[in-house]
Amino acid sequence: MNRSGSYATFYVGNFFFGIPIAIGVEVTKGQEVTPVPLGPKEVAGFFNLRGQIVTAINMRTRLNLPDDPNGADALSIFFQDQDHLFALLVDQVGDFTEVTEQTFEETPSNLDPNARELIVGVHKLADKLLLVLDTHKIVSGIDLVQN
Amino acid sequence: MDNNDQILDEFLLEAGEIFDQLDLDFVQLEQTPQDKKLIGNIFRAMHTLKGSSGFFAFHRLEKVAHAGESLLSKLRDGIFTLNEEMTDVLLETSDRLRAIINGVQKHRREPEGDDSALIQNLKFLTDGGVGITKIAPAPSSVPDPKLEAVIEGPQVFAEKVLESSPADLEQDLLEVVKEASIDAAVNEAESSKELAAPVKVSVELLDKLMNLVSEMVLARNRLLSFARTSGDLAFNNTVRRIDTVTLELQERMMKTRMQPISQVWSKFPRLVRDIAQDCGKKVELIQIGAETELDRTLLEGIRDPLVHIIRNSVDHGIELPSERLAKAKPELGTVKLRAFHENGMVVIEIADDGAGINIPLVRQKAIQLGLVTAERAAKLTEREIIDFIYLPGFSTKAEITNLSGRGVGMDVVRTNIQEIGGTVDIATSAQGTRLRLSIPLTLAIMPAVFVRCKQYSYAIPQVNVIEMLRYEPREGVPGVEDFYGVPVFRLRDKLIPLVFLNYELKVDPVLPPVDQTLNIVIVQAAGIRFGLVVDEVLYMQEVVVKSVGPLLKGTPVYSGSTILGDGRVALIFDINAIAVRSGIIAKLADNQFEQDISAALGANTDSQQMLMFDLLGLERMVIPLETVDRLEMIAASRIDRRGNEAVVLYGKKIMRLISLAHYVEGATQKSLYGDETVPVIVHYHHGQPVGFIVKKVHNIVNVPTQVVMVSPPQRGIMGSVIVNDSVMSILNTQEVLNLSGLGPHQEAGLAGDRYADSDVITMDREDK
Repeated sequence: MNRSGSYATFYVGNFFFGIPIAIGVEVTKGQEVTPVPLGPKEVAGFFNLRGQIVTAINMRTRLNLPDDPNGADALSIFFQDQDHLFALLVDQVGDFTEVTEQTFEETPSNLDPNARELIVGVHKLADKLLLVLDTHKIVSGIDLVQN
Repeated sequence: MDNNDQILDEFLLEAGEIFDQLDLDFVQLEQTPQDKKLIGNIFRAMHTLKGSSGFFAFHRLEKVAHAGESLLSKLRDGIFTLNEEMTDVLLETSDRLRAIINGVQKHRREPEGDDSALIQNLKFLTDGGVGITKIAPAPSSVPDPKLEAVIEGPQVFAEKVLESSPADLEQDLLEVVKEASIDAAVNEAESSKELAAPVKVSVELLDKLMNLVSEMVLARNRLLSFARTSGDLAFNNTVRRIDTVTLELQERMMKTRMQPISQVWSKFPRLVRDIAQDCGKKVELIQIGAETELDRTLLEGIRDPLVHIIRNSVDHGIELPSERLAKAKPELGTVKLRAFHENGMVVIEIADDGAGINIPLVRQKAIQLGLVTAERAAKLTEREIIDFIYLPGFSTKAEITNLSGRGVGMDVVRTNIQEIGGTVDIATSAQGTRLRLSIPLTLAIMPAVFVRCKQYSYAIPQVNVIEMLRYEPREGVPGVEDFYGVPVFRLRDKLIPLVFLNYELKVDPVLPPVDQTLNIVIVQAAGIRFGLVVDEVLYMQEVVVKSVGPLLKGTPVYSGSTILGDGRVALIFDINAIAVRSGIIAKLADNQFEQDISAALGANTDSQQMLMFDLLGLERMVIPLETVDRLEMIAASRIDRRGNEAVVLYGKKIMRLISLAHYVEGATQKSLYGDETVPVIVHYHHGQPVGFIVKKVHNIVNVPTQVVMVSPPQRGIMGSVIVNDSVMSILNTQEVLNLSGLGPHQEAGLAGDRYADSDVITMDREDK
């Protein structure tokens, strides 16, 4: 994975995440999600992005975080993985951030083990840490048979 | 003939393309003679030509292509390397083939000609020879139609000369010349009328167009929902126009995806032939309805299942010729493929006239594999036994052949067919087996019924929907009942199991109370009918099916999704999966099992022997045989009266006679005359004989113990039983005895007075 480059950033809980914009990112808000009864708990549901079906993944559930006390998971970060569109429902969307390889470091070992699986590494920014997510693992790591 | 013409046209088009490619390939080959891939391409091209020409019985074409193919196969396998000599001969082969094809195009039949020299050269080279004698260019390789026809004339003529007597020669000569010139003229006329060649469009482009049309349908749906609330007439008219155009566009677009099923079938004659040969059987394949069209993606889906089924038919189904003859079947077995449209589905039938599925063997195998206990297996119906063959790893073949017997057949067939929304049905007998696949025309757009559960809409594919109904609880009418743990609903006297959708989807943690209005969608899946209880039935609409993506692979309840008019996503149910998930199928199977047991246990007690008799005006009464002691015919003249009772001397006892007609509702009484003889059923009551006078005694019948109670209760009748579709009434012996004054603690013949039964006996009074 290329460690430098542009990242779309967002917050889930206290974490500050980034996914490479090379994967094809788009941000929207206020989508009406159709839930999937019996589906994996991480799957918040489906919505329609210009005629395409998007699978929305609840990042708080995915990261084993408690539900947002303030409620709405209104913001979605889109990316494509193997011909299908996914959206991450996140608390707050940050800026597009440019980073270089100098700030990169391997995943710190004191991270939540569930989150660590999904994290490629960390960029030490001036004021905070940017956790780089592996979008493919977010999708592929979901346990499909839960019910 | 139209059909054949069309096939021929297709062949000619294909051949034209092959030659264009061949020319390019040959040129390329001269530069890179070692290119195996190129030789492979040429080889395949030759092979295709040969195959097709065999079909049309173009023997020249077939022979030349075959000879060329033989040489090419050696080149392909690296036995020879291409030299100039070979290239020459191969090029000549290509030219010759093209010339023949040109001839076919003009005459609609293969032109005559001699290819022996060319074939000989090809053979010579194939056998490793070097240095061939150059041959003169073949006459028919000249493309000018006029010239060709003229040249052909003498050839035909020459042949005729050999056959004919000299006297006919002159006439023949004239005819040949005439024919030749006519041919030439016709050819010229025809060549000016070019075939409008179809345009080849890439599948990707078609798919993309299809997607766009799908989008269009969705946009249209949204527009329609706007129009519903809008009062603007001009706007509404425009929307309606868009609606119709979209509909037509969608239909036309679907057509581009449709392809005749012959695309898949075309490989089967060869397949059947090969398998038959391997098994030492004689099998003929009959194809009916090969022009039936199916969505291209579905065609792919049915290819493998069909191959499996045909293999099974030939390998398992059709018997060896000797066996067939012994069974008085024709030596030549047939496998019949038939495709046709039915109810918006495409039905494909594969019928063989073989031995049929060996039910006892399947049963035995199922027991052997521990799938079922021997006792249970003995009670399974034929259909249930057949169901075993769908299980993975199930095969009755003793040995594995390279064709079949690995037990990976029918389960794969069923899974594949179900994946594309189809169903499989098997019927079998000693005269053969018939498989019936029902397949939807297309998967991309389908009609669906929308239902609401909580605040969300879901779609149910319309193919699964039988009917929709609303149940309102009413006093005295049985509503939802419990049947072995399955809630069931009575629909026109049939029990329909219910699935409460909210509960099944775990949206509601508990089953809702059943004494309320229920909206039920009766659906059919996996061979059973059940009712889905939903919050509301909304509307029907054509939906564009979209994938739900990889994350619902473990949630088989949904087969796809679609976008609603308001832009939201709705999930489409997989009714099969819901049936499986809800456990209805399993529970019903268990329940069937229980019924089997009770039937088996009750085999002795469940049916009871009864004597059937008639009363006047009331036929088919029965009385339990154990209560019958004897049957007597008693002459009316022998009957005496004792007070109000009619009695007869019976052995050393006095037998009280009771006219049953008097105590049984619905029967008519009849007086007896002195010379009449009446049948009497003798019953012992507390050691005393009592005679029931009846009209006629029939035979002893076996009746089920399960008694249908009559309501309101009828005097003298205990209830009804159903025997061979007719209803019989059981005599309530005790009641009759009570009524006639012979209660449980009374002695026969003594109690009558107390009841002042003046109406008991009228029969021996000759006052009528």
